Amino acid sequence: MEGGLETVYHALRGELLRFLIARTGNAAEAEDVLHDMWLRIGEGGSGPIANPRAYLYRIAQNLVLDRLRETKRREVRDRAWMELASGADMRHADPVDPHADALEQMTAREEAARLASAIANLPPGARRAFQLHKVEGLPHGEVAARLGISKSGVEKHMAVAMKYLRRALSED
Amino acid sequence: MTETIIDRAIAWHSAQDDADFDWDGFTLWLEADPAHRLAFDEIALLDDRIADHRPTLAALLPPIEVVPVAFPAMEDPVASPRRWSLWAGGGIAAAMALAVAVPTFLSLSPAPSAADYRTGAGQSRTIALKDGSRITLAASSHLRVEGEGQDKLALEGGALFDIPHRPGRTMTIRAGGQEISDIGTRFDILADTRTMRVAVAEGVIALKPAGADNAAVRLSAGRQMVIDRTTHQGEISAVAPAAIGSWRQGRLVYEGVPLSLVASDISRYAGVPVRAGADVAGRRFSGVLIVGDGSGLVGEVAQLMDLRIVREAGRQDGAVLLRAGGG
Repeated sequence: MEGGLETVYHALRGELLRFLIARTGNAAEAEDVLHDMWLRIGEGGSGPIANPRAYLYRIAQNLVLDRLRETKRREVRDRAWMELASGADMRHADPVDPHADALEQMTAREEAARLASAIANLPPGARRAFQLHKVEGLPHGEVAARLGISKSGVEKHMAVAMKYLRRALSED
Repeated sequence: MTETIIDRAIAWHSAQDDADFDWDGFTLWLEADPAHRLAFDEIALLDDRIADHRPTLAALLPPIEVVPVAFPAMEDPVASPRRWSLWAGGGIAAAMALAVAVPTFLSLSPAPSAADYRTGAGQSRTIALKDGSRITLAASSHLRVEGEGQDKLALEGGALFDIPHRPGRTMTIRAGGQEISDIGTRFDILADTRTMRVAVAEGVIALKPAGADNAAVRLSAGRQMVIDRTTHQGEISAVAPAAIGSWRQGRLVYEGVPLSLVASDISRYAGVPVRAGADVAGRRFSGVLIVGDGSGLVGEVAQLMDLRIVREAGRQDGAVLLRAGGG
């Protein structure tokens, strides 16, 4: 099966690269991700794949998110460290420091609280749909059945929730 | 970032796991404008953060109940699903109960077996009773323990109760004008002069106005009751059991609690008296507040509820008032 996936990868290399350039906004990074995809496929272990093209796109999408997450984490850590250092004159201390970990934990705790508050204050319909889908992990179809609304109704609630949470979390 | 772009980004993002997702259309959309990619990044990262916090969120937020909260007949003889005038016989009986209850508590000349436990601002302490019960007293609170068997308790403020079940013994706790009994359970009480909230983490409690003969209301795990002491209205709703008593870890969790009670609760940690103005006192607050050093609490509530923070006139203690209309 891996052999099959490799064949598809080669056949779609061009469009995957185009997608990755659009997705990352950076040709060099797109090439890197394409290479990572190759390694990922080589690892195998994916079992039978119904739609290899969609599968490859999804791998690409996930690898980009991994990089994005890593970049973001580094930024947040650096900023927190700078704030700490400017307050306590520890500019020469090692940034890989138990202090920084504690700081990161505190930030996570505050962020979780802020997120919980924002969810608790969503419009009631959006709150129910969001919590069932994102917190309790039910798929859209099941959320729709539970709430007695259509699937597109769930999607509308989810969109309202995401917009609201985006605003709530960016107020800092 | 325009709203339309964000809307599109959210739509693409939520559809990306569909088997028939339009990868070509998505690529074209991304290519049309670099802002599209940035909007999508933002939504993808937001979703990722939500996923990271999922276990914490599940512990803090009450589970969604699709059917209106329904109670077995024995738990709730006077029920309309969410709200009812709590006590049969209405206001008079309850008012009498209050009139009786308050002096009883205050006039008890310290019996030999009575013990008082108090905490100051920002403090907390745990009291262990002989029967194995443990009570964690929140800041600025007062617990009195009376009776030979240490089975008559009275609370002002907040506390988490861990009461083991002992057949043949009935412990009673008075707080917020109510009397709680029949206990073998874990629950949290928060009371001020006008409102009381009791939230049950394990087991069942029975609750009635102190000194009254009414049938008690039974409240089971995962439920809270918020009682207005002046109107004698009680309201039952769902809570996350894991969030009950989380003030001990510096996290204040509220679900549909009147702002007046939230204000008196945060006063205990903020170091200054906080009061909700009459125009907003009855508004319901839901949210999670991190105590930290206490200084950020008032601002956080004001921001979440769109309130103004006003200095109380003519007071030296820095007291603040929460009013409608933030900015």
